[in-house]
Amino acid sequence: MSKWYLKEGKNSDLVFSSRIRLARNLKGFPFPNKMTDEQKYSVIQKVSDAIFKSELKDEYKFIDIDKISEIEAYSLVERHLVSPEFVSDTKGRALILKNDESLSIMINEEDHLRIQALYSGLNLKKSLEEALKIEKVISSNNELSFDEQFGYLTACPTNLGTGLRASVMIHLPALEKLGVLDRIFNNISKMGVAIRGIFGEGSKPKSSMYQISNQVTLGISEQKAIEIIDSITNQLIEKEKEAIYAFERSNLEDDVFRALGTLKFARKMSTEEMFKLISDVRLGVSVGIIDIPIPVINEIVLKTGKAGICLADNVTLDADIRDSKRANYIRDRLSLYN
Amino acid sequence: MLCENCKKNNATTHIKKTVNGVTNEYFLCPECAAKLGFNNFNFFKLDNFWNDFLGEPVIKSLKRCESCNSSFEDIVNSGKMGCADCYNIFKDEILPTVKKIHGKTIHTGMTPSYTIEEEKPESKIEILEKKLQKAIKNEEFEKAAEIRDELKELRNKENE
Repeated sequence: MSKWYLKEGKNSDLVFSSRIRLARNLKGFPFPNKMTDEQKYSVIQKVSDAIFKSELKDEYKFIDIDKISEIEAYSLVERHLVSPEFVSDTKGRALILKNDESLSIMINEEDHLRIQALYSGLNLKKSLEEALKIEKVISSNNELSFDEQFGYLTACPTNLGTGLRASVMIHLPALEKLGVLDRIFNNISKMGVAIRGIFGEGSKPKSSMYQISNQVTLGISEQKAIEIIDSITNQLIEKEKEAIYAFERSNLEDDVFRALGTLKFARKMSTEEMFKLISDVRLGVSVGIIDIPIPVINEIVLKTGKAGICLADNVTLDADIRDSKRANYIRDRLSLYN
Repeated sequence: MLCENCKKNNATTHIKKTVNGVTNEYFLCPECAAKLGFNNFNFFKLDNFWNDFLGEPVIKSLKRCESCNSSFEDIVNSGKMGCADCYNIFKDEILPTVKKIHGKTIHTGMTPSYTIEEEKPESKIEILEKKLQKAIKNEEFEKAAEIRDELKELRNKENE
């Protein structure tokens, strides 16, 4: 089964992923922060039973997060399959992962269940469908904590109601270079939507990748929450496509080919440099300067993080060795493209 | 004895105040006592201040969730509810926070019955109408007004 990021979705040159996260809790157990280890194992058992005794059993695997290496755990974070918080304290926790990595269920993170569905390109509706499909399987054997007024009950009141967080990762290099993002983001934040830079520190990430997500979960339907993020994303796509015309084509081409040249020939590459260069290459694909499949670019980003690059050896390698391995991997992946 | 503050009127109010173990005594006339905030109303407010500060009135802080034994102080400190029942037991205490976070206090999304039985879901309007009737019946008028506004918004949208 090919991984979710190897598929090309709508606008996937700009939209890296559409993600839905549902927070759910099983009735009859306290929330994880108040659970005994025994209760935690009991919840893990109940959820696994529901999935691995269902028709979907062959599509999923069970990962005992407490038994895998630190490298393996952090590589899951880098592939956006679990939260950093989830692997910081692994006791009494487990992960159920779909084979194509498009769906993951964190058990006993802040809530009993954190169901997450990922889809390539802009398609939150599809992600929600996938998340609800597995939620239905789990809830067919387990009653979920639900209150008529507050909706789905969650450990933190910020997730009450739908328990749904919809987020889109979008590449906005032209708007970023024009310096207009702050103004756009100010307007968006008034709509109960949060934006932050990802893959790097600060508001201007090296990757020019931004995450847009809803903040409000109570008093808003799932569909409406998705519609808002969807519509903001579409507007950003349009603005980004317009913004690119502000730049001299010959300069853009120079930037893109320099980035591609470095990626194709460098012998050492840090993650920071990789994010910057990959961003330029992605831009080159967006505007039709070069022709490299977006899935190849996505795979490089997801697999060459600090933990991902150590995964084959399953030991923590020195930064210098990591940089060499990363450069080798990228060279190899890009060798087919000019 | 003359009022310590204005040194004109007779002191009829004796104030004894202990802050951090240091006790101060004042002898004031009624006017000066009011002016300096030592009247009943202000003492009441002072109590409220401490209650707000602790997140919970002193008397009620003995209350604990029967299911998970969380006190409201535990919840304030951890930022997390202990279990589903905490939402019921500490509903009054948590409501202002919920309102502050979400701007609303009533769920309008999917319900578990939809996901379990795979029935055609009731429309949001139908669900809200039922909630409205229930709120009116229980004389929860503030809640009813909120539902009414949401219904209005939904209907307007449908008519667009």
